[in-house]
Amino acid sequence: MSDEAQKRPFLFLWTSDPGRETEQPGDPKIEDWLSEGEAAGAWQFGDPVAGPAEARSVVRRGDDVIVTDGPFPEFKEWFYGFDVVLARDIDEAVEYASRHPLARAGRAYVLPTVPLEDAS
Amino acid sequence: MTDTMQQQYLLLFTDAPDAEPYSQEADDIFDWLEAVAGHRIFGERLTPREDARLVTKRQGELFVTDAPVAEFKEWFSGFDLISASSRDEAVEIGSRHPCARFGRVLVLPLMDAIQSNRLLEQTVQARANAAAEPTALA
Repeated sequence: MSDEAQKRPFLFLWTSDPGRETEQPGDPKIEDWLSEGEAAGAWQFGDPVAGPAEARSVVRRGDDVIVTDGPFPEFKEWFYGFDVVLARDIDEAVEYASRHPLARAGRAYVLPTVPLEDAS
Repeated sequence: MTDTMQQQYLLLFTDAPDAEPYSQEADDIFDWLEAVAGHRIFGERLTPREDARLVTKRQGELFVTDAPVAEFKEWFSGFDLISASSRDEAVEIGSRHPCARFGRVLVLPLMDAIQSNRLLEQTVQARANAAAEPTALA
């Protein structure tokens, strides 16, 4: 219980990358990554996201809500998907992310979270 | 959780160069959380860029970059996983989040419905308990 309580959620954002490599023999399978993570109490949930044309960007400026359809020119790469993972610290989170097949076929942003009440 | 008519969306909050400067007085996040409680599945605020890591593996070698520069100029401030009946509704929900003013909201449709799991169940249960409490006290 106390071990679980020390863990914090991390967000993994997976994106494409111009230097991505194709899958190699012996690479981990996504199913193995998920089941290992689930067994260790690390992986919580995650999903692929739709392509950039399906996305929307939303801002409120003054009284106006401005909605922009994707794709967005400022994003040369796009999101493959995300995962929410519990880990004790960033190194543990990075280690788990590094074993995902998309670490080779794309890139991972590993983002620590902070509870809302602690955020300044 | 089992409403199959509902689609799921990832709301990804980022900075924006043309945004209103952040002000705590104008931050109505708790109003938003209350207003969208029926749609919100899970969400967290993210720590600054300096805490983040970029992870890639190339030719068998692992590369870990501290405080990575985002692929675009802005950085991520938080995320919420929501359910909505359409993308327009998801956009409407996102437009009311304070980050629509203090930054920008990306509305990303998910390809599959998130399956329930322990953390999600605990979160949903904790929210249900919290929602039930004021009624019980009243």
